[in-house]
Amino acid sequence: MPRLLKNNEVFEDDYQILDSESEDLAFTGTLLIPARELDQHEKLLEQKQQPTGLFLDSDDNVESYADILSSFDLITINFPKFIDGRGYSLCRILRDRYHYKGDIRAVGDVLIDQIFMLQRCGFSSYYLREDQKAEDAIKALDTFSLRYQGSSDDPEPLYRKRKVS
Amino acid sequence: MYKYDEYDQRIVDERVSQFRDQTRRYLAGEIAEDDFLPLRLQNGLYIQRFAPMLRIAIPYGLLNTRQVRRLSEISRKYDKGYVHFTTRQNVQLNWPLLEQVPEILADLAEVEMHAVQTSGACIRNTTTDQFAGVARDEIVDPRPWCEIIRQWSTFHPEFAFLPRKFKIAVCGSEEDRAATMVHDIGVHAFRNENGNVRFKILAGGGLGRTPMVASVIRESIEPEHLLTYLDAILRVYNRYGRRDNKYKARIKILVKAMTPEVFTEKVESEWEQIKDSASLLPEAEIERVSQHFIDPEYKGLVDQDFNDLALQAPIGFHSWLKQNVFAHKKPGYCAVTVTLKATGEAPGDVSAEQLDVIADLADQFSLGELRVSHEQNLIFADVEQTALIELWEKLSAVGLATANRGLLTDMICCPGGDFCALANARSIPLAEEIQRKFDDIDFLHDVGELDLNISGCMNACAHHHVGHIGILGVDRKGIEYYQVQVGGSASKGATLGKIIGPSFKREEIPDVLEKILNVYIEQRREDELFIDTCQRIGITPFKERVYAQAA
Ligand code: HEM
Ligand code: SF4
Repeated sequence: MPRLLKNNEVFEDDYQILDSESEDLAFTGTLLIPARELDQHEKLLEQKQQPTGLFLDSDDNVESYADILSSFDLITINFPKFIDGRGYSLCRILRDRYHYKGDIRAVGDVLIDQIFMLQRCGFSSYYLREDQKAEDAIKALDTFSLRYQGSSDDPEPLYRKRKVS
Repeated sequence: MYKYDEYDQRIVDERVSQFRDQTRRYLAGEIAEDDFLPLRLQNGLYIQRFAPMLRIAIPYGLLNTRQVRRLSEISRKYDKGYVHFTTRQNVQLNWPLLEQVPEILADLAEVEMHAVQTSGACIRNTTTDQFAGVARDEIVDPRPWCEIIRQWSTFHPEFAFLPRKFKIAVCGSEEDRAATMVHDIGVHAFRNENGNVRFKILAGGGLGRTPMVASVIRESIEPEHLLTYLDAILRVYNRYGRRDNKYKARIKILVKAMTPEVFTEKVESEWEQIKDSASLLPEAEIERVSQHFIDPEYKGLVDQDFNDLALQAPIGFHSWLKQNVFAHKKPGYCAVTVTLKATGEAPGDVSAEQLDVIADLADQFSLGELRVSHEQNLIFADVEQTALIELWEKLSAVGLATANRGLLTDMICCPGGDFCALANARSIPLAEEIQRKFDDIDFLHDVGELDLNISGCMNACAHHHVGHIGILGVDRKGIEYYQVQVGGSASKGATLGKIIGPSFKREEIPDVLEKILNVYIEQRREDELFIDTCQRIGITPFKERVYAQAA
């Protein structure tokens, strides 16, 4: 079962990415609806009681979905491979430009050593890749106690906080 | 030079802990090879042909003598007692053990050094003019801006996994000594009509397989917007740069594919949306960083007559004076280049013993600082002219007074097949053969300023496309061959060299060079430099001479 890191805890949280063909009616976990196929699932969205989230892939054009973002409590951003860094920019745009306030979750190839930066870019939860250790993942949220740049977690760069001696 | 405060120090210290933990998890089998790779690269650690290689950052080429001594100690303690200075103002250890890298980083952190982002698909060490702050043609001191960019780029959370590596160079003088035209971003600092500092921003330059000269993206930007403008460029690149093919992943390919105009529009519209943020650079921060680069207390000296000086000195001093001594903005001072290109030494290599001597000399003669140039040389930037003879004698005693700065034998050369797994050819032995062939210093001085760049493969680590003469190692059916090009230049009017014809065997190259030089000597007009003759007469005369059938 997938493990979710959220609010400094790791727990199991099953999810499914809906594809246009199949639909598992018995599934009760978190449903993720690919943004590109949103129009095919409109009915479903109205009926479902379980948690549902918007699923953005790393090459999705987030600008196209600006209008519907606020109807989701959860947006997931996919990392097909952890070295695909587009998701960092997408998340910052969601937070800084569209002022999205819900949960933004990293999904896919999500590794301990990227969590600190993901958090800085505005991610608030993470489906960990299977082999990642829970305790190390929680620790990784505090890798650095200082940051030079402003970002979505804290817009003030160090140069606005520095006490000059 | 910039001095860390407690914040800067804490950030590098925390980086050491982070990497120590990553290395431990890797060695314990908790991080897979492929997942560890980008982590170690972002700390400058390559696994090379024979051993790991650790690239240590020298931000914009500045070192103090405490750091120089520490590098020497590290090379003795963890390596084979020498270091290699690179074409990006960094320094490399060729034989460290992976297990010891966290210790090396801890030793470096004690002297305000690190290996952050010296490799990997992230923003690399920002480079600039080795004569920053002392050059007579300087308009704006680039160093505070490099430091501001360094801090902004260090662990930038959004840009740690770009499509490919990303290099920024800053130039603040008339002459471009930082090869900004062939960087991913080139920043040209200038003053507007009111005397205020502004930046011209270029993007999309680079060499490698598809060499390209950068395009102007913005003619002028105010200092407070510099970082947000860089953010906008990086964001456009991060989102739209190609990730399917690593040979097409550099920003130059994106700029070309979109066209510079469309790329600029994208950047501008991104920037419009982010520019009014807390990231605006406050005057107070510019002031704080600039305080670290104010002039030292120069003495009120007068310029010496160099002819008189030469007359007082032993033979050999004169050519060194002429070639390795650079004019300083303050009367009575000068900047001295120590070329790391003595015949028989791999270009850029320095032994631990030499480093110790260099540190002592920098303390004695140059206010305790040293610089690294992208030509893989070292610079004493603040030498009193009256001390030149003494300095020269002391350098000569340790084999560091080769009078070839800017000449044919002061070549830029990549590590090639002796160290690098990607190489088609061995650049270092070739460099040595060339140095042996052209060992007559008078002849070299007669030929004058000439950039010779030798890369062992297409990756162009030695920037062969912008060498006045560029040599590239190629592989023909398993045999190493060398392609020759002429007419490249890394100046503000950068040009890419043209290949003169079919490639040569290694042993043929010194003679080929001789023919090329002869064409120049015959055709040059008074005081005309090699590159200017090349650009005037084109490649045909060179081609005809080199490929002429023996009668
Ligand atoms: C020994 C191991 C080395 C390996 C495997 C290596 C590999 C590479 C590769 C693959 C590229 C092309 C990247 C691209 O264009 O995207 C590259 C570029 C470059 N390398 Fe190296 N390199 C090595 C050593 C060095 C050294 C020692 C230097 C400095 C003397 C250096 C300086 C550069 C520079 C300046 C570029 C950029 C060229 C450009 O503007 O495109 N490299 N290297
Ligand atoms: S140019 Fe090629 S051979 Fe030389 S160091 Fe770079 S990758 Fe290696």
